[in-house]
Amino acid sequence: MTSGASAGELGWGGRVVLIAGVVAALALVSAPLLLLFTAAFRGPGDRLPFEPGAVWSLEHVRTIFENAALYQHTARDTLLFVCGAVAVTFVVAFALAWLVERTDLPARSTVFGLILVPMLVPTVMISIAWIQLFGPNAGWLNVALRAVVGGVSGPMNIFTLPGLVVCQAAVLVPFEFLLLSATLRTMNPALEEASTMSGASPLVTFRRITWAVLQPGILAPLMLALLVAFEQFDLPLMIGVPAGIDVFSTRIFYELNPDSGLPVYGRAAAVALPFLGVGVALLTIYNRLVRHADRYVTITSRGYRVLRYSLRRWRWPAIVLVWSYLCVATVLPVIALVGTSIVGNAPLSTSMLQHATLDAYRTVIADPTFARAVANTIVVATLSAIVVTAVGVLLAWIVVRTRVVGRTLVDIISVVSIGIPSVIAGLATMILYLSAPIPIYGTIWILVLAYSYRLAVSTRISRSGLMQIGRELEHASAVSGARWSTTIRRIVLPLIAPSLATSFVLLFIVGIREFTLGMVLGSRDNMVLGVMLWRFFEDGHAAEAAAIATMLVVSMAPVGLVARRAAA
Amino acid sequence: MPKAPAFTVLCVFTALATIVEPRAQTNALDALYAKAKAEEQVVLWGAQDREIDWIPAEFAKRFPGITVNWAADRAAITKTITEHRAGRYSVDVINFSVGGMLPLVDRRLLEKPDWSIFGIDGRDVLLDGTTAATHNLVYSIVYNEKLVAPSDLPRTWEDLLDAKWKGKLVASQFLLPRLLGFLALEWGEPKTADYARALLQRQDVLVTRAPREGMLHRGERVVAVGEFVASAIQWKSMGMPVTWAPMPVMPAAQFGAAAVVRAPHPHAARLLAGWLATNEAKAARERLRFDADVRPGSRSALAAALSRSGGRVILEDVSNMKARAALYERLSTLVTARAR
Repeated sequence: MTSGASAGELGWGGRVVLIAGVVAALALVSAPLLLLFTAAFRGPGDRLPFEPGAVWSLEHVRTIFENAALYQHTARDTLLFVCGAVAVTFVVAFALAWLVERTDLPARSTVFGLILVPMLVPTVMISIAWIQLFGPNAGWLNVALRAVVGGVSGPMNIFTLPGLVVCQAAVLVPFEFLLLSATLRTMNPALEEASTMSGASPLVTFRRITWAVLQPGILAPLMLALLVAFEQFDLPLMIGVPAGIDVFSTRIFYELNPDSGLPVYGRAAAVALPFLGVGVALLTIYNRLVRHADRYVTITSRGYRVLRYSLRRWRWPAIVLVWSYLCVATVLPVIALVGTSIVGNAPLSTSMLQHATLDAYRTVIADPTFARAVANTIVVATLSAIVVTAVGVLLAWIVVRTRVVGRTLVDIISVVSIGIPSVIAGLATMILYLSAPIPIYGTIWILVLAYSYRLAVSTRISRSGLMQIGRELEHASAVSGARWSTTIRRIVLPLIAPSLATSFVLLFIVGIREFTLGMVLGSRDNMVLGVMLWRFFEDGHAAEAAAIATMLVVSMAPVGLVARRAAA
Repeated sequence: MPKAPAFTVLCVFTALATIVEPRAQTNALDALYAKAKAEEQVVLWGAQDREIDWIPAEFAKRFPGITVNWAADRAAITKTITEHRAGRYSVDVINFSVGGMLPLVDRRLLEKPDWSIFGIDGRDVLLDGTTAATHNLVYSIVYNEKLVAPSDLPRTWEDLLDAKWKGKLVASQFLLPRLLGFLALEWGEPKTADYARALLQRQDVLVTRAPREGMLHRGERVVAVGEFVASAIQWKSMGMPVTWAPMPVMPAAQFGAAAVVRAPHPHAARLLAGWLATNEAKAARERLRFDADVRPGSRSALAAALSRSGGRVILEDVSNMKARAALYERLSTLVTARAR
């Protein structure tokens, strides 16, 4: 079966399902992608790309890329920021995932749930929490530290490159952790056991066996982390700009917020073009590194059980390490968030709790749009996560298991989807459904479709999951007379369930936090919580915005634990 | 006495005009209200919740029977253009910055209603008769009144370059370049660029998208450069120890209301757009949201306070909009670290 699944094995049903997957993927991604290219190459700037008067032009691309500052400052800053954040993220996330999934660390489920908490909070609120904690003059931790060490400012300053890198890493670690833990959880330990029994030390086993076998499962999260860090703009705007750091993603924001007139979508799209280039480059590297896919098969017909290393004398250092991380990355920001929700922006003082009030929660809950926003958010996040996970697994199966012509193109389209800025995707969806005779504009259904364009996460996770499964399992099923759909339902899906659960959880959480698409495509009827939070935030009601974020954390925290149980 | 009859006739005509014109206005307004009421609702779009969320209740007090459905979105102008291109028409009234509304004027998507039936001064009708001025957002400095004594306050924009403010200033990445664009109209671009560099490099002003009110409240920084006076009044009303101080030159961004062509509720659209520019609506806006009209002839409390402060207000106008936008474009590169 090294040449891929045959048409005979697939049958008509299989072919129809796979074609439907490809059509759905193209439908979800092509509109934003086409608008991105159209906008980048149509001018002038005071015309929308589809308006009369707009013509094909290199105006936007020239404006952006003929600017020397782009290469002198922006490219350098972006490189430092992305590489720094991803390096820190990867080391921390891998260590945490390994400790939780492959060792006998105590309270693993609790640790798993707590690691995911920062991911539940919209990044704007997390950044405010970090500023509240580490602001050089009045940050709560700095004030507390100065009480001990003295001084008038600092000792920590969040408004620096290291500050930005650490904050971004803290935001990305849960995302990366979730992906890596799925990979580590599904790894067959037989090879490690053999290595250990041959007398290899744990370090040698890790370097020669674990690391080598896990390559697809590690490279995919690494690639996604690079792409996500590249397109992040909340933290660079809040923390990077004060530090004099200028990255590509913040330029998109500047172009969309001109002094007067229309947002310059063309220039924003031109700035986003390198994101696509980076996506294609990373995919090419990834494909080269994992081109001998059979090397990474760890789940075969022989079955396996999960092996956990005993930490022994490393038990307490590991516990201290993990809980120190949780304290800084989860507990402190949540305390800052809850604090903001009950005392607003009040400075740290012994009397601040005297002014504590639950008014912000009352205001939010009494808001006539709140109940509808909660329901809409759950529906949109759930359905979009299901759609993207389903389409993603079909695409991944096509790429890994077939030799269909054009599968690389489908793979590229799915990967570059993560580089399309939300606002461009929102505009494309708006144009599409205003023009098409499908009456979903202004409803929650347009949000479900709009949220479903980021296929990269699902295809990467599913692809690395599939690469760990030996083809002989599917082949044996086919030889036994099972139809393709039966093999997929009874063999493949159960084995990649951890990957699917991870994909669903990630996309569900992204859907819960999303607000840009909700803003662009919003109406009174399809209000979602992210938009509601953003509006409170923009109107200066920090306590109310923090109250929504706190409620999100409390209500969504069990999602990670449920997913862990479902995937186990 | 050949001139006496003519004088008498003039007086009679003037007297009649003062009686008849308001009555004619009232009649026209009543007729418009009757037609608007038959439409039952009106759809209003603006940029931010706080700018428009007060309108349904106040409008209903003045014109019962018409429901205002509103939505706030910074991309409201793009949405309007896109909807019209697609032949869909869902918005009736736009209440936005006049700079933001220019693309709608260029595309002839705004009506030119008869503003006179609302008693609106001709000087307050903008953008080729399509838009009526509703309010201004005035730039000045905002400070933590617990941490800065009034005697220490900077009196001019240049005072902010004093060494004592180093490391104590914050500014919005969104608003500071806009302020600089206005100042450049007064000072010229070279002087303003030097001023911006001094603020950023020498004074280490913290330029951010994070909420400045929180930074002022906590004492992370003590003076915010180029904030809106209305924001300061709002923050103070929320219990924060912040207030504003006047500057010798205070730019004022201009906002307006307009009825959209092919509005689904055309009469209600004209009624709401016109009412938003009346003194009654302006007073309600200032009372509820602190956003005030400071144009010449305004009766707002803020206009009076600005007048008392001795500061000069530079109004955003069509005549200076394009020049200022170009200055903004160049100066914003300094603020956002793109040019160093």
